[in-house]
Amino acid sequence: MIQLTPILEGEVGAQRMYLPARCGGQTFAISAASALAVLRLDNLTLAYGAPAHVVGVANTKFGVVAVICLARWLNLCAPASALGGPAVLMGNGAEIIALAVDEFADAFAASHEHAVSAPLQQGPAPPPRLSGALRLGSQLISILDLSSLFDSHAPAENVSLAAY
Amino acid sequence: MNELLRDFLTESSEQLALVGAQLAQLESDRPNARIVANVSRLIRTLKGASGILNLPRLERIADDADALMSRLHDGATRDIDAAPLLMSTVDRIKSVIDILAQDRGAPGGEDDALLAALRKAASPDETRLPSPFEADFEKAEQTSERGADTTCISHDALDRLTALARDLVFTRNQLNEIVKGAADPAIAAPLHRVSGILDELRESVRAARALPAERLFAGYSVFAQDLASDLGKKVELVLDDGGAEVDRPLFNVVRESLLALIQNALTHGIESLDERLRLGKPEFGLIELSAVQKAGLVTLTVSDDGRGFNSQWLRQRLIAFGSKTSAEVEPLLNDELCRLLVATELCVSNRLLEKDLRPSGLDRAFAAMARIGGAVSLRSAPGEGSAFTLLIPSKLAIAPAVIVVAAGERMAVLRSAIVRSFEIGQADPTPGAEPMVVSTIETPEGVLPLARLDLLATGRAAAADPRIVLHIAARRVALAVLVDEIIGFQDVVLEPLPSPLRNLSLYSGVAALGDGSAVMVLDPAGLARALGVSASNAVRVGVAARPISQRVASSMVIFRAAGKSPRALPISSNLRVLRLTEAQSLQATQEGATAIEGRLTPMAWLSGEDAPRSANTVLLLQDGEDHIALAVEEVIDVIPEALTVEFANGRPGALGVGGVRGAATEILDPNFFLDRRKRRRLLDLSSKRKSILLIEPDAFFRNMMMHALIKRGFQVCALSGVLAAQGAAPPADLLVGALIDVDAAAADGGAWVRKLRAGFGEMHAPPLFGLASHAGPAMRRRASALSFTCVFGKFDRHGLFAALALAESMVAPEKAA
Repeated sequence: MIQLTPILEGEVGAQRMYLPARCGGQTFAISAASALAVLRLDNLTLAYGAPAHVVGVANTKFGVVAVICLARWLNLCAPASALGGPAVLMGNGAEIIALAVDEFADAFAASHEHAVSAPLQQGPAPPPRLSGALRLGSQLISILDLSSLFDSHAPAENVSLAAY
Repeated sequence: MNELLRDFLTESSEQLALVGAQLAQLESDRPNARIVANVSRLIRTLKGASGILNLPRLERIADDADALMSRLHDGATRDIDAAPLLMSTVDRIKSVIDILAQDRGAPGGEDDALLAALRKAASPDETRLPSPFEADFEKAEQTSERGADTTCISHDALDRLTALARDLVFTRNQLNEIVKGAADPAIAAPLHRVSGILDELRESVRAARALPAERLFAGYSVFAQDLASDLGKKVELVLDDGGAEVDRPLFNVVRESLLALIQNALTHGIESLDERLRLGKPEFGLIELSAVQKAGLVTLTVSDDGRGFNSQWLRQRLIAFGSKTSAEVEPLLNDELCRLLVATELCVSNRLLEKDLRPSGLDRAFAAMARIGGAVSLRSAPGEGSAFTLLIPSKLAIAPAVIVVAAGERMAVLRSAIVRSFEIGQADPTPGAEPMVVSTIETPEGVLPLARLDLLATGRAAAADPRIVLHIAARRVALAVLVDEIIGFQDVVLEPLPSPLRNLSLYSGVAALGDGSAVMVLDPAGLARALGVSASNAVRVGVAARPISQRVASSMVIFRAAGKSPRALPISSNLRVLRLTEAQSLQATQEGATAIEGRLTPMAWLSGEDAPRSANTVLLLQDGEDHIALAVEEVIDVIPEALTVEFANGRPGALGVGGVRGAATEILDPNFFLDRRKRRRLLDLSSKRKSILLIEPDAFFRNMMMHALIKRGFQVCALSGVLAAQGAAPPADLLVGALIDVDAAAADGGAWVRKLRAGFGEMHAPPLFGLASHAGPAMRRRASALSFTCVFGKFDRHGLFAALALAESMVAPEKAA
């Protein structure tokens, strides 16, 4: 059975909470504001014909949701299967999806001081995958822009910190 | 157009947009004096200005609306009652102003219905306001089955009730999974009762939520004709509700959305009369409004044969929204522009809603969809027309489904889409594994395209060739798919496909199973599309291809059986040639019957009683529900010409003798064997052990249960009704029990069942189990009155087997004694 873990509040004072997700050898920050729960994908049902980054559907307490492999969505090196791995349920108010990653680290709070400028977008397509980055000490962590995940489901070009 | 009129029209349009947004707030149950004052002010301004500018039609509408506003202002009428009428009035004023703004002269059309409604509403002795659609609603109301005693409950309460019912269905499925295979009646019986109660609860909740799409469409014809008349256009509105049902809480929102789309199609889509004639189009513009229900979604389509969305207009609109630059939209094609426009409109509508503004025109449709989490798509061809498709989520969809396995993946097919299932023999040809081949198969309903579900829905081949055929039919589509296994039935809560999967036509939705996993629900129409089979060419396939047997009018099959002389049998729609598997052949020779296509089929031999028997190839004769397999040694030929019976030879089962290629050939009478099968049907049972009598009119359930019972080691005599069993004494000594459809038993008032029970004697009567689709309390009372031991749901296989195991254990000691 899928296990659910509640997510922290999205904002703490002037700071915003982020959930760091490791995927394809990189770390990305997911805004906790739209994260509903973290779960382990103990079952995954194939949806044949789906886009490559949609690895199937899973039953959760929020209903049956599409499971999207973050690594495939970002065209990074993806595991063979998302089954058994961690995922975060993300909602945009109208719909919920599960975002499968390699692993999660502890959530952290960041303020505007940590933010660096957003990456440049090349042309109208593909839709943006990153909304910016956070500098935490010497480490630079990309912030995922998941809004396009609900609008557009085409895989992106390779994404890396080289854009910064 | 003079400057004064232009200013008036511009200002009025802006004011009307604002008032439209405010009117939406009147729909809430709170009086709002500020809004009433604002609307009154605007109506009075319009009334005065239209008089000065000599716009008599506008003046009439504003005048009558003003009277209603006075009553609202005085508190004589509730805001909430007046809101729909005022919205219609504002919409009418908008359309008149739009026509004037296009400088097309004085707008024509009739406002009689609207004016009458306004006057009636403003009359001092009117306490309840009429709606412009009231007559249509009343008509639709009469067609609905709602009783007179009704009560109102809030949408929240209804949602809560639905959620509880869904959770209960899910929990029941979980419990069924846990006790699966357990024969403990202490668990099975209460669970079965819970199941029955839940079925009734589920149906009650569904009935409480559902509103037929027919009601949704009520009033649109009048609206369209009125508006078309105003615009000087001719239009035909075609409505097809498709038997769909819309969720009650979404009713008003969906209605508003459809209204906006129809208005848009009429105002902007359908060309003027002159333009249509010039373009060679029919005088009457066509607007089609259709509804289709599919799993957890209701799809509503509003299409027109008007001018369609011009690419240049779409580009300008996108640039005007600020979402795209000129360089970005220039290379895009019409389809891409349509998709972008819909996405942008939905975003804009969301922003308007966030700011508490009421959008107008086409934006109203998008805003309504945004409010309920629906989806919109647009297809358009310039000069040919456009079609808006709205996907409305439904919370109504709890339906029985059959869970099948293909290449290790579980999938669900709605029970309502399955006509029958049967197993084919190892020797029967099936589509190859690589590449995916669509073959054909013959069923009693005709020849169908056949494909392997493993290749179709998983892209890989199963370990072993699948042998179970599902005959699927829905909405003019019929096909057959091969599956590895049917693993069960469940009432599933259907959910719409998640948006990343919405483009997958193979599936109609998703559902959660009792073990907590998710399953994809197959869509028959999607399967047909994937096979490249449409309703029309399915018919063509049905005529052209017959891989298993030949069926040619006025033909004969020539075969050899019990001797060297050839024999002939006329080929008709009820004859097929089948090759039996080793297991089937062995069962046929030992038991005198074998399972063919999921049905226990009695055998007939042309050899004498004492002659050695073998059955590798059979001629399967069918007449409705009756069927028999005639064992033959080999099929020699099929002759595409009718034979003439030269003379009767007096042998039972033979029509006579005719000449085939110069040789005298005995021509057999297929009806003889079918009649003999009828006479012997129940007698066959006496030679079997662990026998079950199954009386079930529904072929699907009958085949399915028979298959399951045979797998459990029972010998089954399956009949379609008690009338078929009349006149034959059932064997008493080896009958474990009888499974009888309660409705079928009630067909003769229960006389046959009582006779059956009486024939055994009270001490030796085997249990008679009733079968029902919904084994609720009412059904149990009915079954009890018909002398049934107990009643089971047809989907409750576990409960049924537990009861049969108990019955068997009670019969066994007696037999041992």
